Amino acid sequence: MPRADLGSNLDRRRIVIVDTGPLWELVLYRAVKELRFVNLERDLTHFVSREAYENCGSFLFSFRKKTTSASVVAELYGKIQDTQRKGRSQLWGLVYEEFRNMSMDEDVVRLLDMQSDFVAKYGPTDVSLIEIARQNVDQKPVILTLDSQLYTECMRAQIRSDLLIQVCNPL
Amino acid sequence: MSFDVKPGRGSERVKAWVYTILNPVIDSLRRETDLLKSGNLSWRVHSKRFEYIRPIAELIDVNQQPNLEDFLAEHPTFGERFNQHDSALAILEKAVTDYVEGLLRASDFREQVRESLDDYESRLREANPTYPDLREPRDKTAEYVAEFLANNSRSLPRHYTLYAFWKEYAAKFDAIFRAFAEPTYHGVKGKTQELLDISQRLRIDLEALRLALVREYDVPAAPLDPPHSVFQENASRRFR
Repeated sequence: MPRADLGSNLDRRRIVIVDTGPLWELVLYRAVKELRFVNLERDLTHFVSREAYENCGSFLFSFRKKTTSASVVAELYGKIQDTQRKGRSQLWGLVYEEFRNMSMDEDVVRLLDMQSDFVAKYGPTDVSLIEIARQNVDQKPVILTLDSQLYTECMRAQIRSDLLIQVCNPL
Repeated sequence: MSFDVKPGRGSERVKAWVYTILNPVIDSLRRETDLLKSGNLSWRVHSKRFEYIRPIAELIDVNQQPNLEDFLAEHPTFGERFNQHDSALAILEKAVTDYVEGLLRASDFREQVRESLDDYESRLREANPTYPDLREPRDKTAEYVAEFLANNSRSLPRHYTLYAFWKEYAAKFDAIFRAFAEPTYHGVKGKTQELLDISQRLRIDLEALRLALVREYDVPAAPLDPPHSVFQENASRRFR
């Protein structure tokens, strides 16, 4: 499995397309560390140390453009709905801050523009991320995910993908 | 506490106070005091409000307002304490907003931001081509800087667009921020301390009340899971 670098040799022409998992992990980290949402700590699967969080930060910082899919925002909604009601507005506050401070872009891929058999197999979010990568092929797109199924599909489609675990623990 | 009709052992009414009023308010006040101690007021330039420090009523689920009213009917002194907290919060929020808006109106400050951006583009990006281009959000940078200053943000997470900019210029802008209107700055600091004192005392007293209630009425301090109680908003969801 190739290992992610932290951008030391990267030019800034590239675009990173961020999946739901890494974004949720960024939100969870701040919720736990800054807002004392201790009950969410068990859901942090990758940012188990400050170093892992900062490695991911360095990786993301190395990209000229960061974008995601509108489907990812819908998935974030689902994740927030799965938490206690009293903390949801704060979690949305963190989502907004992460998007704003990362200058996160957001692309919409219409259902009718996605292959139905792919959607049936992988779900609309994964397919939309791959489609966004295809639309930005001249910018050397990279999909950041923690989903090994999406990662494998990207390899098949010859789209570069990095798993969050590689990014958190670079060589 | 004196009741016309004293709740019995294991009272559902007392559970309602503990689970829907005391627990969320105590949790939020712990968060609030942490933020206030660190100087992070979570003030936002777009809303002119503190994002994570809120009036007491906003800490309680809107569906639980009848329980809040019931709790205050039996514990009226906490109604006064909640008002005292909310009043100190509103005063601080206005003081910070006035201070930052004054800063943003000051031509010197805008000029300093422009100079720093020029320096960033010509010197830092020249030496570090991987640093992000800040020409696009240029007009917004002054507002971001003001927000970072209001929240005592000494450093930013590495994935933020302004990470390298802030790493280089935070100290300079912090000095500008403190000196901009020094007496007013100290006034804001004083109001922050006032809210912190009120918040800490309120939290301690609410914790003491919770302990007294769970002892006297023999109820758990948090709902047990399972069995699912009426206080769990959705039994199918994980209780976090």
